[in-house]
Amino acid sequence: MIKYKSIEVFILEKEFVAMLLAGGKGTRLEILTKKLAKPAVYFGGKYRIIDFPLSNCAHSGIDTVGVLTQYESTVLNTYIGNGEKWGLNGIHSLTATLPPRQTEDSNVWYRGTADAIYQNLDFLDALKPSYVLILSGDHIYRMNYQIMLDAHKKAAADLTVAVLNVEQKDVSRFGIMTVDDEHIIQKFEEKPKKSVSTLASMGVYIFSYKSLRQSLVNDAKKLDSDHDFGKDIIPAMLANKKKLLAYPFHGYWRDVGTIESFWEANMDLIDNPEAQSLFHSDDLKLFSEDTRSLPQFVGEDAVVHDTLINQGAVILGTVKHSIIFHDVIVEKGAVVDHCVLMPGSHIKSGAKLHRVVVASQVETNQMVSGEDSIVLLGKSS
Amino acid sequence: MIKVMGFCNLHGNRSLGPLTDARPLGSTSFLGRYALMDFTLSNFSNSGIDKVGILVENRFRSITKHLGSTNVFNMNTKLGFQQILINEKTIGNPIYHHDLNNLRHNDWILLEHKPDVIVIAPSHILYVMDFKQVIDEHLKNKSDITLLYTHIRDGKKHFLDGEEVAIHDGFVSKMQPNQGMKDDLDVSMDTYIFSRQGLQHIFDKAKGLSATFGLKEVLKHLIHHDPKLVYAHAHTGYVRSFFDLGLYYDFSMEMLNYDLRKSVFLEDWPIYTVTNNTPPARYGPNAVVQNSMIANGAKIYGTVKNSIISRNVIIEEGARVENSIVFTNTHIGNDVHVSKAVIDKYCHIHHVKKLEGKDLPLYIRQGDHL
Repeated sequence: MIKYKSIEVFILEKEFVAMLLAGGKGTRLEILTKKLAKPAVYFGGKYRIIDFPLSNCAHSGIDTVGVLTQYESTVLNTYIGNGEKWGLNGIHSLTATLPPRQTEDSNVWYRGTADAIYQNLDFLDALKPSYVLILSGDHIYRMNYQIMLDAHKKAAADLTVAVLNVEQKDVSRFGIMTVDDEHIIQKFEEKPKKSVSTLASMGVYIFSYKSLRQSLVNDAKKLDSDHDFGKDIIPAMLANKKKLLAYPFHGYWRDVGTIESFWEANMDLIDNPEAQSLFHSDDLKLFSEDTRSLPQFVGEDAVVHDTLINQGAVILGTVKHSIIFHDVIVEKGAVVDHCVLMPGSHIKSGAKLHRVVVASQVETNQMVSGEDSIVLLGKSS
Repeated sequence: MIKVMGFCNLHGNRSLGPLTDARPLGSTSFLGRYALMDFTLSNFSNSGIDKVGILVENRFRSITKHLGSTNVFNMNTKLGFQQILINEKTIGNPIYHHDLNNLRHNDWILLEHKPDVIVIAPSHILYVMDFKQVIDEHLKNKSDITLLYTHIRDGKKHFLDGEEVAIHDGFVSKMQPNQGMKDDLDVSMDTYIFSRQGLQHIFDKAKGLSATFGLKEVLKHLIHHDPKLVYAHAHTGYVRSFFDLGLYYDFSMEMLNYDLRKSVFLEDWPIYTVTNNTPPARYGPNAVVQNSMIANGAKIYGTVKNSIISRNVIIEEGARVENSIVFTNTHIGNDVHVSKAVIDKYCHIHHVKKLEGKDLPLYIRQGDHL
C-alpha cells in the first residue's frame, strides 16, 4: 500500500526497484531538445534514448520503475505511460512517472538529481525496497543490473557505482574515482580537470536503501548543497566512511550529450561491431513503440548502402552510411550520406546532405555539408 | 447507442496449396509484416467496432500464435476483445462444420453482448472499408440483412470461388457461383450486416433447410425465394479475393506499385498488427535493393529486386533475390539465386544455388534446408 497522507494506492513491496532520472534538458543537443526532454530524443532509427535503460530494466527482471520527469515532461510522460512498451505493465509491475508535485509542505521543482529522489522518499518508503537502482535517461548501453546487484550484495556495500575506463582527455566530463584491489572506492572527484585515474562513473548506482535514505535526508538539510549525486551525495558518503564499490562495466556505452557525440553514436550502429550488439541480440531485444507503418519501400532507382532503415520509410534516392527513422521520405535525386534522418523528415529531390542530422518532420531540398562539424537541420533552418 | 459486434469469418477456408497446410488464410503472411486477417480486424477497429468474434474453422495454432493475448486491435483494452470462437461440437464432422453452426453454438457471445447490429466479414477478401457508413445505411433502410458487393472486371480469373450477384431495385435478387465465363460482373464480398432479428431469421430458416448449409448457402436459398429480403451495398475501390498461390503472389507483387499501395494504406486508416520489436533493417556495404518492400530486422548484404522481404530475413552477399516473396526468419545464402519463388519461414537456402518459378511461383516449405 502506498500512502500519500490522505490517499492510499495499492502497490506491491519490492526488494529491488529502479528510479530513472529523466528530468534533464540536455541543452547541448540544441533544437533536438527544444520541446523535448533529452531521454525522449530519438536514437538509432527506431528508438528513443530512454528505451535503453527501460529495456535493460525489463531484461534485468526489474518490474518496478519510477521515472522522474521535469523538463518538457508531457511528451515523455505520455511516451512512458504505464510501461507497456517495455512490458513493465505486468501484474506485479509498476511504472510510475514522477514529475515534481505540490504537497502540504512544499511546492518546488527538483533542484538536483539527489533532490528529485529525496522528494519521492514517500514513494520509495511505500515500496519498502532493500536496494534502489538509480539510472539516468541519457545513455546508450545494454546492461544486466541484476548481476551488478549480486556484486553489491556480495560486497555488502552501501553504494555500488558502475564504472568504465575513459580516455585521459575525457576525464573532465565525468565523475572519476580511484579504487583499491577489491574495487572499493577510495577517492571520488566530480569532473576533475586532470586525473591519474581514468575510471569514470556511468551514472548507474545501486544503493542500499537505508544508506540512500539517510544520505538524502542529511543532504537536504545542507543549504550549500547542489543536491547532486556526483557532487554531493557520493563525496559525503565517502567522508562518512561508507562502503562504496566500483562495478566495472565492459561493453558499449555512450553519453550522447552533444550533437557530435549523438551523431557519432548513431554512426557506430553501422560500423562499430560493439555497438551493433545494442539491438541485434535475440535475448536482449530492445523494446520501443510500434509506429504501425508499412514495411519500408526501396524504389527502382534507389541506392542504399551501409544503412539502417526503419519501417514506413520510402527511399527513392541515394542513401549511404546513414540512419533512417520511420516514415522518412528520400526522393529520387536526393543524396544522403553519413546522416541521421529523424521520423517523418522529407528529403526532396536536389537535396544533398553530408554529415547532417535532420530533425523530425523537417522538409529540405538544400545542399548541406557538415564536413567540419555536424550540421543540425531543424524546422526553422 | 447502437451496439455493434463484428465477426471475422475464417470458415470456407481457401487453400493456397502448401502455403496454407498449417495455417488458415487469415493468418497467412502478407507484405512481410501483416497477416491477411489484420485488414478485417483493422476495418473493425477503425470503424469503432472492438467487440469481435473470430470464427475459426480449423488450424487454430497459427491463429492463436498471431493473436495471442494482444490488445493491438482494441480501442479500449477492457471493453474490446477478439474472442476466438471454435465449434467443438462439429469439428470432427466436416459436413456440419460451417460458419452458421459455429455462430449458433457460440451464441453465448450474442447473449452476453446483445448487439443490435452484427457485421460478418471474411478474412480471405481484402478491402478497406468504413463499416460505420454501411451500418448507417443499413439502419436507414430498416434492413435486416445487407450484403456488400463489388464490381470486378477480371471475373475469368478473380473471385472464381465467389458468388455472382444480381442487383434489382437495391436488393440482391440472385446469387450464383461465378462460372468464370465473363470478366465484367458483380460479386458478393461475403460481407454481411445483420440486425439481431435478421441473424435470428437466418438461424430459424436454416433449421428447416439443411443442417449442412452455411451462411452463404442459406442466404442464397432465401434470396431465391424472396428477392426483396437482402439489401445490396455497392463497394468501390480495392477488393482482392485470395484464392490460390498464383493470386496470392500477384496480389503481393502489385503492392510494389506506389499508387495502389497509397489507395490501400490510407493515412487515417492504419492497419494494426502484432509488433515484434525488431530493429531497423540493415543494408550492407554492397547491398543492391530495387523496387522492394523490406521489413524490420532484415539484413540485406546481397541483391534484392522486385521482391517482398519479411522480418529477420538474411540475404547474404552474393545472393540474388528477384520477383520473390521471402517469409520471416529465412536465410538466403551466398551465391543463391532466387527468382519467382515464395519461400516460407525459417528456411535455410545454402546448397541449392538456383530456385526458379515459371508460370506459377515456386513454393518452398516452412523450415526447409536446401
